[in-house]
Amino acid sequence: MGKVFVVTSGKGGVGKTTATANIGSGLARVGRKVVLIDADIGLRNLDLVMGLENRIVFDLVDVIEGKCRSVKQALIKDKRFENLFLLPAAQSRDKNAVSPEQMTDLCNKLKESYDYVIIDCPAGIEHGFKNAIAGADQAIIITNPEVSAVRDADRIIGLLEAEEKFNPTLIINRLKQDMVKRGQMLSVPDVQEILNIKLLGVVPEDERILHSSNKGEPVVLDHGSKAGEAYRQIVKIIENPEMTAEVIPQNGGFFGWIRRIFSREEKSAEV
Amino acid sequence: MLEFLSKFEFLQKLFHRDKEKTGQIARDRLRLVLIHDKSPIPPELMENLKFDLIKAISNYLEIDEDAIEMGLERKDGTIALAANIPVLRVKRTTPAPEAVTAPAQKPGIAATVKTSAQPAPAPPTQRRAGRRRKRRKMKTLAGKS
Repeated sequence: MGKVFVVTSGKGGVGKTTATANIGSGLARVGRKVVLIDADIGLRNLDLVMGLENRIVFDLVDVIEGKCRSVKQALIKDKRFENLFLLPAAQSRDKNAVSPEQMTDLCNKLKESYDYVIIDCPAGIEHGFKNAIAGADQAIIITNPEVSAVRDADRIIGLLEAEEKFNPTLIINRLKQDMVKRGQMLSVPDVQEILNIKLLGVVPEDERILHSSNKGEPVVLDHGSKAGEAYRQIVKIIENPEMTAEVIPQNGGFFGWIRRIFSREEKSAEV
Repeated sequence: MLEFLSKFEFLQKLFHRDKEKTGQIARDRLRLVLIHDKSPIPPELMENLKFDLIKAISNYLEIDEDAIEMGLERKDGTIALAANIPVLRVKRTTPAPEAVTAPAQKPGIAATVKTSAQPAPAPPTQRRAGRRRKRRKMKTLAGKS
């Protein structure tokens, strides 16, 4: 029986879709059978970030409304991993097209055949959010070390904890270690203390993320990327929940700058 | 181009060290706003508290009720209820304390409790102190928020 995770945040733009794509790809990379569901009906993006936007035939709403024979017809196989699938959102409908009960049924069906079902939750706390969390067993909260994001994350955690089933864990995304050192950004302990849930991982700010979404290739596959390394760590902890998260030190200072120049050249040689 | 920009940043850091530790400000503001978000203090509570405070303090000091400022404040990582109460003068006669005796900070008050005679009217410095305190408080409230 598989596990169903919902990746949520409250605030928009903090990195839910990126995290879903990378955690999904990362789990598939270590051999798991994974299905990703884009629950952001009307504003789909997971297909784009995964580079699968040209392969959409049926979507989530088609499945719920019975327009295709089965879920399998709508699932898109990933370009890189044959054990990774995407169920895209509908683009021309809105979040009222699906109900929480329908989502629960879908997730229950899917978790019989997959190790992980990961749901990309839309921003907000209304219908789209309620749909996305309905079928989930566990929640991954994404936040940025920034006041609005943390405030919204706190609200979301409050809503989830009320149901007692989600065991929320935290990913702090877009951390800049140099700013934290100068006291100009909320630190990992600051955010942990405020939100008070188990830390799953910390993903540093990384230009490679933009390149990865430009190309449609999740950064977890990029061995020159610090963010990619962070996601690979996160996947390890998801697979082994007894492990604790470590903050991967960023290379700072003058020598770090030199190192980064050379590793950038390596990467461009690879690509 | 990239090297020029990073060299420029290096020089900037050397000569214009940005000392503002805004991270701490963010943390303190978040803590406070989350307290309000989770258990919003109903306005009636603050009003009742203010009324009771005025009643208690008015036993000893004549205060400017309209100029009272009261609210939650963040200070060095803790939350405190702060009230700024401008004092006009110390009362000539004060009733005996009802329940718990407040700590006698001013010898004048302790004296009036035991005897009914007031030694001397409050020196004008007290009023000035209150105003100064108020001005300072207003500055910090404006500055820190």
